[in-house]
Order: sequence, then structure tokens, then C-alpha cells
Amino acid sequence: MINIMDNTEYFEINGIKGALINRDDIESITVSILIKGGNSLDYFSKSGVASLTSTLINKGIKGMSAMEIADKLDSMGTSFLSTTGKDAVFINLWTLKENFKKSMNLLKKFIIEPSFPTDEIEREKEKTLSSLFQKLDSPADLSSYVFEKYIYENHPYGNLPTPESISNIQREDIVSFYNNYYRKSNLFIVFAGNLNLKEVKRELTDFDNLNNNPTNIKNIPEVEELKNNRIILFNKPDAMQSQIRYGFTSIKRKNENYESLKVANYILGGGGFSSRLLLKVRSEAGLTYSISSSIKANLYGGKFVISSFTKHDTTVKALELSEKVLKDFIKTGVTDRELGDAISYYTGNIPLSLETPADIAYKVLYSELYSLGKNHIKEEMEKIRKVKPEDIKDVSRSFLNKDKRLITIVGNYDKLKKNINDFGEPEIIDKIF
Amino acid sequence: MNIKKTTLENGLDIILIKNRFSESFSFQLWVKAGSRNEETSKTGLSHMLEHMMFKGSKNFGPQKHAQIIQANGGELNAFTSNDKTVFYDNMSSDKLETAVKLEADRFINLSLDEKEFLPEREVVYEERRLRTDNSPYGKAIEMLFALSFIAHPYHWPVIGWSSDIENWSIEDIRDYYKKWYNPQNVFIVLSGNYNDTEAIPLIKKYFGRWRKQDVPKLRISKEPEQEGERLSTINMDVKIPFVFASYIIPEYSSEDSPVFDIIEKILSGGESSRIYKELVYNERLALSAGGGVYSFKDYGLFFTYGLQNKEKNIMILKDKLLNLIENLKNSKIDSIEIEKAKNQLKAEIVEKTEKNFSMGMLVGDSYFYTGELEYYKKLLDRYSMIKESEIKDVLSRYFSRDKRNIVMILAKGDK
Repeated sequence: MINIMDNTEYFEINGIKGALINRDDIESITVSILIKGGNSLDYFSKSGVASLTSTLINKGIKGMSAMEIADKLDSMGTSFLSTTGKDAVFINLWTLKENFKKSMNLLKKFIIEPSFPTDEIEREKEKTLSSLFQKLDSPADLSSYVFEKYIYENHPYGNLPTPESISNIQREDIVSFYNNYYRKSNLFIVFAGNLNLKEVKRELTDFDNLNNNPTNIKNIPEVEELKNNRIILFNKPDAMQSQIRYGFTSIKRKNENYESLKVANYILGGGGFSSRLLLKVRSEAGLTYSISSSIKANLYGGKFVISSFTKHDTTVKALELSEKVLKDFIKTGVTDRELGDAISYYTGNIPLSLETPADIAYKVLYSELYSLGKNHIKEEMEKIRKVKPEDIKDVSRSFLNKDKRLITIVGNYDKLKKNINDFGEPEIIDKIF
Repeated sequence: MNIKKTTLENGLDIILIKNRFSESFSFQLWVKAGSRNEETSKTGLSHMLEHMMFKGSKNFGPQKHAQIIQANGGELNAFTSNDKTVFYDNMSSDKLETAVKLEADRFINLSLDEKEFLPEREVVYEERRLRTDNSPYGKAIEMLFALSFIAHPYHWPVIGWSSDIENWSIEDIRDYYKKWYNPQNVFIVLSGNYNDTEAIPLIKKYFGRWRKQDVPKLRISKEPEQEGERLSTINMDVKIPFVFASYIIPEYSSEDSPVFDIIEKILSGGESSRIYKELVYNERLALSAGGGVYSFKDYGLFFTYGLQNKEKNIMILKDKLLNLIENLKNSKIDSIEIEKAKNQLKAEIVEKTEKNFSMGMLVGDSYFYTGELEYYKKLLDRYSMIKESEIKDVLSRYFSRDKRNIVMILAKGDK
């Protein structure tokens, strides 16, 4: 671990902050960029602006059409991907070293001078719209979408695109998002591969043309606790099994208990075959192929969710058993053995989780986004090593023991109605937008 | 990267791939048996046995293997395909003995306890519902294979037909394990960084006692010559209808096989490829469209697909998708287009060499399908020699209309 991070050099060149991860044993170079500000900055009526903006930055630059750009990238075997999360945009470029200069020239233009052609905007809007309807064909995706919508409700983290919000988006919304957030002061760029700082410096001089004004990211309220117990059942008459999500809102990433909760979650449901949920619900009861729990902690709050699926007639049984495992976990805490195994998983996993330069680049961007500091990986491991059984008990009682929870199910209501009321009265929906 | 092979006295091959810059390794066990080794009415056994490999062996109880690997910071899993079943443990370099010891125990002394088998059969059934019965895409792929192969075992799904899953017994699994899990039908790949002087002695220490056994001869039906287009339409509650089309192509090790990789890139390698450019970009008929190559031991399957954009017409999309393949046969293929395909394939191979797991997969596939450790390097040379005339020749031999198979997933009520 120490060796891996020793090769990481932080810099501020020409007003741009970033890091260089030097690896001279590989033939490729990865460039990853963080732009702070994500979907949560969209207005409800225009959800999708942040995502569309990042999707469109490589769909037209000065003197080059979207297809010419695609042709150039494909010709080099260079891959380019932008993804937009709740708090930020992540841009990733992977290229062979021999094509680095040409690929980098394109990447710089995507960031500095995207042209956002109207026909490309329409094309991407149309694709986004179809993708939304495609979710309805996939029970797993649909279930996650329904859960995400209801868990955050009116909070900006619940800003999910809908056909209506997509059709409301105009070119000026995209240009405005770009102008407000794609700024020097708001970028963090990581280079990983066989490169030196001099080469990086040369590449960054071109960013002179990028907006140099300070960035004002609007304040977002913290995520609140759920106010009601709810079961939302999306009726999909052709479903062959139930897709279940169970959870509540949770902490933000900067919470001092984050590491303890992360370890607790590993033992409860995040640790695959080492987790209690998988052991009880899959291995012993044979109710599902997969069950896991996760904590998603963002800048202003997050969620805890147990995800699973099972056939219709065992849906209530799976829910009851999952809830029992959760309650027992809160009540009894963890054994020394479980805790020791979880800690050694995280500490021992570092060489694997940071195997490629792209893995390290992502960690560096993650630390930057959540202001975790340059020594975040080392410090996080220190904190994890110090977690005690009583810490797990404390965080479980504070953050996993909630009166109010949200359950979303995508399944066939006719097959579920006989038993589901035993668990609570569901709100039946058959539309999500 | 240094790649070498050694064989234990019991016939177990060990492939070592050394990456001295890494701090971890991927320890992989490749069983040369998959759904191809099954028979009608017992489909899915290979995959079910893969599940049972996690349910306890002589010295480690159910789930213990996984729990120990994870408690040592490792990651593990397994997958079953039509030809092979692969198990892997990825760990930091100092943990090799842990991985070797655990794998040897389950490969030599698997418990196969009925008490563990029965709930696990339900788990697998649930997996089938997830991936196939409850997924329009899973259903389409299952149908595409069933339609394309009518005699060869590639006809049936790796996970098995539902009625077979219901009827498997623990005896079926025991027979399969006895038959196919033996040192001459398995090979090991160790990819990454490890102690050079310790690796082989360690593997020998734990796997050396595995008794040598003859590998049964497998009799497999050959696929009869296809004499006409086959079409299947499935009506489901889908908002986005889609189409798949396939052609049977030769096996992985065939001289023609790399040509299909080039064809696949020309048709669907990136947003400037023919299919994407025409159907998604220019015509805006498709939400997404592309293709791929399944490359197997006895045959391969080349496929293309298109997901209809909202409010567009699936029949027009289908016709245009099929026309693009016809056009490729009849129109000029620019040398720049071919060069682009080669560059993409090179980049993909380089990317795979940068991770111990994918490097192990690359060499494992090379060895499994061709008997050569570094076939992937030869592949790069082979790609570089492919010209338009060879592509045209291959297209004309394999991509005729009467060898085409089409699966359409339509909305309810649509025809």
C-alpha cells in the first residue's frame, strides 16, 4: 500500500489541482477528471441537465463534429467515459501511451470548448428518454429507480430524470451548467501511467482558455430521516419474481462514524459470503441468489439499503427474515471473530483495490470530492483497525435502528397480495413517471 | 511478463505468469468442462456443481472457503460457461498458501452433502429467474442459442432448463464431479507476483496427492448444415422491443476466427462503427445497437442486436440491421476502417494485460482453446495480416441469409 501511494505526486499547475500517479511498467495512460457538482444541482423540473452536459462534452467541439470525434477516438482504441453522480461528474480517458498526445488534445477540447450542437442535444435527449422506458423492462433497474425516488423524496438527491424533465431541458440549460461548473477552480485532474510532471505541465498549459472564475456550488440541505413507514409496490403483472429494496436514509460521507458503519455493514450484508444476510437468507434458507446491504454516503447524506429478489410466494418470508437478521444484529452486536475478519478484509484488500492506475486515480478523486485529505487511504485503514465491538453496537443503534423504513417491491401484485399485508399495507403503483 | 508451464506427475498443468511490479496474484483453476459436457435432461449440472464447490469440503465447512479468503483481504468467485468452469482467488502476494490449500481441499475432497444441495438448488433456480425468466435480454439470448444450435450442446443454456433444475439429484452432481474434476482435466493459472521459489513446491504440496484419472471421452453431436433462416418472436410486456441476429462461426482456434473479431469491430466497435453510426446516430432508429462474438471450443456465434428507440419501428430497425451485414459483404471496406478495428483489438489486449485477473484469463483462454500459452500474442500478429479480401471471403462463407437466426422481443400484441 505504501509503495502504491508513494508514487502519487500532488500538484497545482496553472491554477489546476491534480495528481500524477507514476507507473512506468504499463503501456497505457489513464486521465481522470473530477468536476464538483452533479445531479443534485438540477432543478426538479429539469432533472437530467448535469448528466446531459457531461454526455455532450465529447459530442462536438470547435471544428469537429460528434462523429469525427468518435472516429478519432475509435481509431486509436482510446476509451472515453463520463458519468454523473449526485455530487460530481467523473470523466475518464484510457489510452495507449503511443496515442496519449492525440487523445489528450481531444480531452482538453472536450473540457475547454464543447460546442453543444442542437442536433446532438436532441439526439441525446431522445436516447435518455428511451433509456428511461428501458428501465421499465428490467425489474432490477426499475426497483432501484423506485427506491431512489422515494427514499430521497423531495431532497435534491431524489432528482431523477423523467420524460417530462428531459423534454423541458433546453440548450441554454446545458450551456449554463457547463459555464457554472466546468471551471479551472472546480476541476481536479489525475494522470496515471508512464508520465513525468514535466509532461503533465505541458498538457495543462492549454487550460489557460478555461473559465478561471471561482465556482459557487449552491448549498443543498442535509438528507432528512424518513417520516413514514412505507411499502411501495410497483405492479408488474409479467414479473416472475419480486425485486426488493429495504432501507432508510443514512449518514453523509464526512461523518466521523463512517468507518465503523462501513465495517458494521460488511458484517451485516456487505461482505458477500462473510455476511449474515447472505448466510441466513441465501445459504441457509435458499430464498434468493443474492442479498446484500450497502451504505451510500454522499456529501449531504445517504442511504442504507438491503437489496434482494425472490419468487413471489417467498417475498414476505425473505422480508421477515432480512428484518430479523437486521434486528438481531443491532441487538447482539458482532463477535470478535466477525470484527477481526472484517478488519482484515479491508486492510488486506488494499493491493487488489488499488491494482491498476485507474483504481488509484478513482481513489484520489474520491478523496478530493469528499475533502478526505491526501492521506485518506492510510488514515481510513488506521480508523478501521481501531474499530471495536462497542463501536459497531453504537453505530448500529444510531444508524441502522430506524423506526421508519421504506420498502419497494417490483413484482406481480396478484401473486403478492395474499401475504404482503402481513408485513404492512402497500401503496400500489403502476407508473413511475 | 514471463510466462511458463510445468506439469505435476498426476497430469495437472500449472501456468505461471510473473508480474514483478504487482503486489497481488490471481490464482485460477480452469476445469475443462462446462455445459457442453452435459446431456439432455441434466442440463445445468456444471453450473450447479460450481455452486456446490462453495458448500464445504473435507476440512472446511460450507462457505468457509469464501470466508477465509475474504478474511485475508482476498476476493473470489467462479463462473461457468459452455466449455469451461473457472474458479479464482485474488489475494495479496503473501497469501498464496491460503489460496492453494483451500482450492486443493475442494478440488480433491468436495463434501457434496444433500442437506446443502437442496437449498442451493433453490438458489440456482432463483438465479435463473433473475437472469432469464425475469429478463427480456436473458430470454432473448437463451432463445438465440437454442435457435442457432439445434443438435450441439451449445443449444441449451448454461444455467439449465427449468424442468432439469427441478429434477437434479445430489447423485447427478457427484457423478459429474467424479467424471470431470480430475488433474488431467483441470489446469492452474497463477498470475501476478509471488515468491518464485515457493510457488511450485506449494502447489505440489497440496495438489500432488490428487489422484490421476483418465478423462472420459466425450461424444458430441455435430451441428447439421443450416438450410434456411430461423426466426423466433416472443411477445412480452416490454416498452423497448429489440432484435438479435446470429450466425454460427468456426471455433476459437480456427484460422478464420480472428477475422470475425475484425468484422465485429467494423460493425460495432465504438460510436463510429457501421451499426452505431447508421442505426443509433444517423437514422436514430435504435437506442443502442451493436454486436459481439462468442468464441467456443467447437463453434462460435457471431451476433448483432438493436434496441428500438421510443416511437420508432422495430421491423424497420431489424431490416436495416440485417442490411448492414449484407452491405458489408457487397461494399468496399476501407483500409482505414480495418486499421481502426486492429487498433481497438490491440488496445483491448493491452488493457487485459494490466490486471492479474484478466491477464490470467487471457493466457488461460489461449491455453484452453489452442494449447498455446501465448496465443494472444500470435493473435495480434494474425490481426495485422488481415486484409479486405480475407474479410470478404469469410463473410461470403459464413454470413449467408439462409444461415441467419433472428430473435425478436416484441411488445404484447405486436406482430
